[in-house]
Amino acid sequence: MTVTMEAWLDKPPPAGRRPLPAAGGDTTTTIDFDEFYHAHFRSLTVQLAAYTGDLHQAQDLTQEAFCRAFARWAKLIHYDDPLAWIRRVAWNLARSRWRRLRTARSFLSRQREEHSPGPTPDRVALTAALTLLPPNHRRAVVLHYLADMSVTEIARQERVAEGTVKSWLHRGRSALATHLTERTEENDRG
Amino acid sequence: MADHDELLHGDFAAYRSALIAAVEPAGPAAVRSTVRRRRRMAVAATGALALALVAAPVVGYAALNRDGSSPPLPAGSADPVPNTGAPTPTATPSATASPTTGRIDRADLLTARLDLPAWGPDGSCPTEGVRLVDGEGDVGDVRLENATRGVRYIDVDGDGTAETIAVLECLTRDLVPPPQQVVAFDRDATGRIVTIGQVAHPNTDQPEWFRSLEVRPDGSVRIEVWLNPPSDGSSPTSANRQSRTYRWDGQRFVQTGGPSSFPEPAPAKLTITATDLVYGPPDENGMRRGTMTVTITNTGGSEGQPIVTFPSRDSDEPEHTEWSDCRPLTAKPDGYRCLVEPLAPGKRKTYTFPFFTPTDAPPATATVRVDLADADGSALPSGGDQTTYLIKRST
Repeated sequence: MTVTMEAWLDKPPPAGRRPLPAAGGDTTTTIDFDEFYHAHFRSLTVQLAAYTGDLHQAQDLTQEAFCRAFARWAKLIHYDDPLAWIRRVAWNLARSRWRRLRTARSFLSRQREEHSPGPTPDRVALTAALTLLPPNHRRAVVLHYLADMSVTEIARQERVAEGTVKSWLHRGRSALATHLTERTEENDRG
Repeated sequence: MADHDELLHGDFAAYRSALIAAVEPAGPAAVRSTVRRRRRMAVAATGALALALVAAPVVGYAALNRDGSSPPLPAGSADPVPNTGAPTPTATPSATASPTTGRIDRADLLTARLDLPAWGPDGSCPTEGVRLVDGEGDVGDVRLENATRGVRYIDVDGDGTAETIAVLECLTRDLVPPPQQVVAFDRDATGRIVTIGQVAHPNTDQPEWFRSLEVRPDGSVRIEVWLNPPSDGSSPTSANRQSRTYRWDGQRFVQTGGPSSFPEPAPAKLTITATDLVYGPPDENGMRRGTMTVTITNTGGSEGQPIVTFPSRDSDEPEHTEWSDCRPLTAKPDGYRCLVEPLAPGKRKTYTFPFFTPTDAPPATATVRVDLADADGSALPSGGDQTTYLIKRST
């Protein structure tokens, strides 16, 4: 998976890591938490950043989701799809009205805002276009294009009918395409 | 649209590449230390309270006192009591942040000032800055109900941690059963207890009430609803019991299972029978006295309030002072109309009506009516009945 490769870009693999269990293998083999974290943290953060429009908050939310996953890791590793669980929790946190976050990183993250690399033009255009979408449509396109989820998978996570997801995707796509085209035309005229 | 799809794939891929480089994960070690720290804080918090497991009595509806309060807990049971004087021990020397877990224990709910969802049509129940009472309370208090085994914990919004579900009762003087609501609570980022929303409240157009609830592993809440039991104290049948399931949909709780209400019962229907009015011998003033009895039965499905109407006859005067069961409404020339206490469905009651007469009129027949009263005391056009009776002298 492309995402997994990118996750290892600047991190050396931990020494003595255990291989992930093969299909049909012993179900009691432990999935290594650190490995799982490195495999999925960035991808999840990018999804939430696209949705919330705030990279640092997305990082905090993702870190919080991994904390909740770690708290029940012994159970989670027996799920068919632990990633689906963490993803759902992360997204529910992003949508939650309470934002019950108390990670130590929150304070530090805000400190770093001045030092992070500036956004590229690509990022700005898409972020701006995404903020114009209603939350349902925005969620659907982000889950589809960034999380690579099928309509069925999105319907399952969002607990709505597949027809609803298709409708959200359809409208989200059209709106995005329109906004991005206008933006391109503006830039060309620029 | 296929065109757009490809372009969008490209845009998102470029977005992803650009953003992924900017992500700075805190790392799995930070996850472990956070989780360890929270576990220590949780242990410290529970260690400060003296918790005794109480086998909460199942308070049947018939056992509720007349004023709506529960009978007192059996002697010897202990409620969790927060330390009022002693400082809470902390695990670390640095200032302990207030717990942010949504798993709020009963004691914390009882000390907090809560903003509650609206109760329903009854405007007298408080919603702002409410301090819950435990056990006995005064009219106007909101009680944290104990009969359903206290607060429950379940993850209702899928954020990976549990929230708190509690059944609240508004203590009123004249509403039986008292208004109830099931509320979900959480803590916000500062540790303050906040209300997520109302899971459900009983329908108010029928005398139904929440008997118990259970939380399901999938985050739904299942509530057992009873219809007001018959006044003779017998247990509800399956026709008077329902299960309703609710789930958080992201913005509010919605019902996802079970019927939404009890079927509307058949309206009240009254029938009447009467004995003859028989006068005895005249007294020293020449007055004859007599009584008749009237039996009213409610054969319908709902409670109804009967109005009894006697014909207005010069020869037969109602002895009103003795009509204690029937409150006078009108007198001649419309007929003697009086109102009796409401009659529950299936119930029958007999009333005695004394009369006197100054004359020696010959025997006659008369008609007595019973009708259903509306809220203003007027007779409804249907559901009533009438019967004839004989008026005669014994000697």
